[in-house]
Amino acid sequence: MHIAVLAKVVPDYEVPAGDFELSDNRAHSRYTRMMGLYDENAIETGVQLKEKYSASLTIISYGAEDDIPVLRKAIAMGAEKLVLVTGQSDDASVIAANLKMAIDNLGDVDLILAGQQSADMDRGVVHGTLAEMLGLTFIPQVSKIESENGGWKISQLTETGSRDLQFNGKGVFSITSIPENVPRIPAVRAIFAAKKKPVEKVAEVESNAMGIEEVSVEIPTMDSVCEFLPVEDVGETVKTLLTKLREERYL
Amino acid sequence: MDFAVPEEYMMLKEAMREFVKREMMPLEKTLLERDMSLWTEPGPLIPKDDKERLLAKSKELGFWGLEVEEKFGGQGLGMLAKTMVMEEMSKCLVGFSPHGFMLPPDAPNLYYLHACCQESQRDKYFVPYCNNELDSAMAATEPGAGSDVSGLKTTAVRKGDKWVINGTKTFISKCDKSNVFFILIAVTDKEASTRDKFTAFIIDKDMPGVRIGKEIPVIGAMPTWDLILEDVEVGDEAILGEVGKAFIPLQNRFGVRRIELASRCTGMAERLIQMMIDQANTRTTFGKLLGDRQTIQNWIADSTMELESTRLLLYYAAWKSDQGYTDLRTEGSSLKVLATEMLSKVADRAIQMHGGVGLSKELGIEYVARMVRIWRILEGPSEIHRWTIARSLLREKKPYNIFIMEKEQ
Repeated sequence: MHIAVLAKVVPDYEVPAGDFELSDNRAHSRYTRMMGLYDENAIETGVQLKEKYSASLTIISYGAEDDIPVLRKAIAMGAEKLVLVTGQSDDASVIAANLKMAIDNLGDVDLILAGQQSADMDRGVVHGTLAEMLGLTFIPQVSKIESENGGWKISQLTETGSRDLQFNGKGVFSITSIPENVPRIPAVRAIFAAKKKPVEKVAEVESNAMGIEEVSVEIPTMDSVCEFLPVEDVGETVKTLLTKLREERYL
Repeated sequence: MDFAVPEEYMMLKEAMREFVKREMMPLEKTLLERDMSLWTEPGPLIPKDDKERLLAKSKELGFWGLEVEEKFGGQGLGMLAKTMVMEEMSKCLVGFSPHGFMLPPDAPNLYYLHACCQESQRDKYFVPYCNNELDSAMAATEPGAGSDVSGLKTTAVRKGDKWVINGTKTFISKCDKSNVFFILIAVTDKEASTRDKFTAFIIDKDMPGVRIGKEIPVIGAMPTWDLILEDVEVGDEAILGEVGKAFIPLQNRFGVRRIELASRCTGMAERLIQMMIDQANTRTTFGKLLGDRQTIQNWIADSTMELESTRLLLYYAAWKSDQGYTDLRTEGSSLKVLATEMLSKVADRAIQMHGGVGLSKELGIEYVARMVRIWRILEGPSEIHRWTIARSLLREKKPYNIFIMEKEQ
């Protein structure tokens, strides 16, 4: 079994939106680079599957060469190899086409996992586009995966509930965050071993971009409004808080 | 000259940062609450179960013995790696306080044991120490002798094939631990010069004649006790190093502790500066953000300059240790003074900037201020270290030489 996990290096997503500074419509280069939040959930899921089913695990990324030290964390977590397609496009179709090229080059990939959405653009588009290009089934918001009778038993987690699915064949799954796939902290020995694992750099291929032109990029200004809730009964206060957050569509 | 940090070391820092965030930060409130009740309810600052969990998880991740050679079960990464990890740990009060959580084995005694222990002691003490099966405490200070070791009165007198030890030690840590052994410094030749006067002995806590005296309350978390030795009989197998030759390894051991202490200070100073920045950017007084006021800006700038100049010397000293230099007395003394005085100032500014809440037990800045006040005396007061540095330079008749030529590859 060969599992590939897609990972993207993004600007520090812990910087509050109100503090974020753009340069040429993108995050200012001073921000620390790190792996996407959901991407790490996908990597952890991949590592768990690798350990459970003695699979091999490859990390595939599209980005700059400077991303390699950041992506090496995925190897320290348990992957065996990193494939980086070097390119600078933000276009989902171009990225998907290049990831497809890397997957085709690997040849024997059974399962492709990706974070539910990137931590910078938050689009959640690339994995679906990639599945279509590969001619594979795409299942979003996957929380659990088990191999069963030559196929896959999958749990899908949505905002309002969960459902179990069965699936045979190869597929692209987007992974959501659950307590069971909190990314592991790489162990000291694994950190030092990671540098010795193979990193394959592949030049990007030309492909058609989506017919979309970016006109402007803005970060909405944040207004802080503080409302105190009475705490006579903690349970009731929590319910009130949740209701208000839902009403305002924060949840 | 290359100031770039190896990628692996950055990952190591990142890994410890995540460990601190997930495992240690949730215990900060507990530590502060325990600190308040310490003298009416003695005991550890961190509950036993939590400490065991931290030990198990940090061991699983390979954080134990970062500087211990691989043949003794460590990672063999050296002092610079340990320093960078310690800095991350010390951004949390739990890792900052030696009485919260420490990664085994404690570095200074580790270096001392490694340099001096006999083969039989290696199996009996050093290896179990590396594996956290045994703990150790230094027993040097006496009621009449602290920094000036010439005043030590504890004696070890040769009688037949035994040494008989008598004396009283004070401010000795870890005496409440059941698995502790002491590295005890005793006078074996009263007439000899300081360099040939003292011998180090390994003393088990349960040896006949060893007695733990009273605990000594101080201004913060520094649980220490008196240690009384009455006709304690040991053989040559208890001698650590050579007879009469404890002075130099003892000084080297202090050097390691001082570097380690400095990394606690730089780590915590970074966190306090972050707190100051956050406060300056959010707190408004009289219609203006604190951060718009020159005094506040000066505090942040001064704190940053003092932190980073200390950190550069810290990394240099750790790197020098990794190159095999064991005499780090000047670097250790310089760092001890620089780092503790730097953090004292940073903590004081942080308290001042936070006003009333800065004084409260809630933020923990006052805990830092108390702890670092202890450290300006513990392991040698600042004045002694300044004297040590100056004495060395005056003796050499030239300024300190920081330059180390690159070795032939």
